[in-house]
Amino acid sequence: MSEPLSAAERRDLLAEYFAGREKLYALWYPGGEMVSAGGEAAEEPAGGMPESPSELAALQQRLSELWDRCETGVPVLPLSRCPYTGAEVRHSIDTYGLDGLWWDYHAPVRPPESLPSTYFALAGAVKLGSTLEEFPFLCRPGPEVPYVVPRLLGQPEIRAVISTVEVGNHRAFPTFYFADPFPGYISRVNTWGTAQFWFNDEEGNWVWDAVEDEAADFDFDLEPWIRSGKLLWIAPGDEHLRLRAHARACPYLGLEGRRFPMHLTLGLVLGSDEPEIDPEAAWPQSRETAAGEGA
Amino acid sequence: MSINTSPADVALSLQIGAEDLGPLFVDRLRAAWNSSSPLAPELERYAAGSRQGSEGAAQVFAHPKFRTVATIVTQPDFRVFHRTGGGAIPLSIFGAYRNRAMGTEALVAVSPSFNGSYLLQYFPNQGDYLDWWVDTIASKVEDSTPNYLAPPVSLESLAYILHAVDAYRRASLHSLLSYTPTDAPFITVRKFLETMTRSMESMDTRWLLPAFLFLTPGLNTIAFHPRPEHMEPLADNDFLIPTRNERTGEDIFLFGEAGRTMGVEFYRSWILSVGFDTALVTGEGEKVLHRAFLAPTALGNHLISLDTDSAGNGIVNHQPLTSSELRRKLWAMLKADLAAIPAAAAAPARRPSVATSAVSKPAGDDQGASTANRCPYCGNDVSPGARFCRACGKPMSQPAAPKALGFCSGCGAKLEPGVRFCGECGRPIG
Repeated sequence: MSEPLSAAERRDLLAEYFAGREKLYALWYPGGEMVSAGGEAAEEPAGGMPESPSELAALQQRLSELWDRCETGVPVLPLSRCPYTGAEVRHSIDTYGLDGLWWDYHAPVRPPESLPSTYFALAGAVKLGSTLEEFPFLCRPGPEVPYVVPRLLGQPEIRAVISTVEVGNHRAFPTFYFADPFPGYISRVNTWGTAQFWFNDEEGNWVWDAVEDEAADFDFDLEPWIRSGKLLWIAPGDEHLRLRAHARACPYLGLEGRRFPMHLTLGLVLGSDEPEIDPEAAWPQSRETAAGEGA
Repeated sequence: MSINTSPADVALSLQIGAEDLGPLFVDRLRAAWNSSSPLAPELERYAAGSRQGSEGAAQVFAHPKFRTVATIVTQPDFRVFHRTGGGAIPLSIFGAYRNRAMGTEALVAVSPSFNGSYLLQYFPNQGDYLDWWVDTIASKVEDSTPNYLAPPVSLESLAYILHAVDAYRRASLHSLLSYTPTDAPFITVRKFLETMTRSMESMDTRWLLPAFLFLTPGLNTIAFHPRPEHMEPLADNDFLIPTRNERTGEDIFLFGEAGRTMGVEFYRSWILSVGFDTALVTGEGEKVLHRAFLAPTALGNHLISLDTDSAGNGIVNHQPLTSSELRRKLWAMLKADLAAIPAAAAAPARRPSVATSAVSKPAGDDQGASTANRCPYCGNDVSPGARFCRACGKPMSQPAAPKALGFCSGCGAKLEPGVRFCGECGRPIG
């Protein structure tokens, strides 16, 4: 297993990656034409023509290497615990900040996960800190306040666990869903921060599906779910990941923050009062800084 | 001695007096038994031919299912042992047994009955057995309830928490008996620890902690070393809130959300508990597979499953289950356990002691003691022409080569070797 990236390594890697990707995009899409190894561009590309097709290939190769290093270098941390078996759940997460490729909504770089058999889904929320990083991709970390998905948690076989992890100067709330036994097929939720979810189908094939954001999928009133035994929580900073089921003094109740799924890019929070938002059309629908007022 | 078909899931009930066990199993059946048989102590004590069976014994013996039941309970290769009691129920035990060599999924539950007799209840499959078990023991609960004691929890912490649940009842009773109603029941830390020691020493199963300690089989084989850090879940999980009595300055525990909720739950609706373990029976003895304790209440069936970590420390998984969840959990446990039964024979059977005086055979007894054959595997007597040894289940003859057994007497279809039912009409063969 590779060593996790240090902060400095990560910073340098991301800088090189984004610069290289920008150059690659410019080479690929100068006025809409693609430059191939054997072709010629009709116009002078903004990023400058490669000296030879092999330079383009080398650029692609280097980006691939950086991508791989991102994948192997992202930390894998104990984030939750299964309420059915007590098994600890370790999951990858880029805790340095939201500017890592792990958080790229359209092309997340994440290693294969080793999860308990009771793992069902992963959603989450991120309370933004005072500074939002600038990154050239769309990041969708959820709302700022933790929530549950009623159509999942309403299944008798499913329970969820909320926990806390610091991501840079932000505070993240991963919410793991567990099932015992697995219900018949129901559409899950896109894995936290990504555009799809993966699962084993009835024939044991590893397949993916995707869902659109629905307002009904965001229930921020957690107390009834805790009191009914469907939602458990892990105290912030608890290294032992002890599961707790009491609503009294639960730190996840009554939190302030944006109660809609955020779209973050280029240091901006693209806000909307409605959770039904087309990521493509949201650029830029409205703009506000991370320190601005929420909806 | 009686035979009846009980309602619901029990296919057959046999009530056998203790005085009839020897005549039935030793004299008539010439059964062998292993040390895991619940009847072993009685059969060991019995000298063959020393008693005449009652009139009902012949009736039981003639029942078509009796031999199956008898083989299962005398030579189990798998058993579930239960201790019931706690709360308001007197102590009792019962076991469930299975013998894979019988080629059936049947289980037989054996429990002591009135006047020293034994009640044998036959279930044709594990599903029926579980239905009966859940109907008899569990609470009918269909709504989920918070798991204030989510896994994993150390055995020591569990003890503190069970005592906290008891402490709520103690505080409530104190409030009642002293005519001092209160919205904030509490217990002093000193009293909490003091009563916990007395509770554990008392084994008074009217309280939850002693019920758990006494009813759960084999608990004494698990390391138990309480230390102060094991009390942390009391506060972390909101069972007890440490504070100070403003009036006396004494350290006290107030009851938190979990302490109140589970305290009221058990105070008002806990009536009984059962501790049980499952085990394989092998030639080397019993191998325990699962060990658990169940405390049903009006809000949930609290199932506490015990295990040990790599250092031998006790770890528990507590789940408050609905009725259907409990049945599903027990089904999965039983299925996994039964799958672990090896195909080889169970523990070597004890042969019955030889009679010192001849016993006249009752009329109609077609299982006569005089035999010309002995089982080459276990040495037990085998009736002439028997296809299987009744003691160990091994086949008495192996065909040299597959051959057709002939034709079905029902429909005339040709029969393949080894079939038990005709493939054309379903008629049983042989």
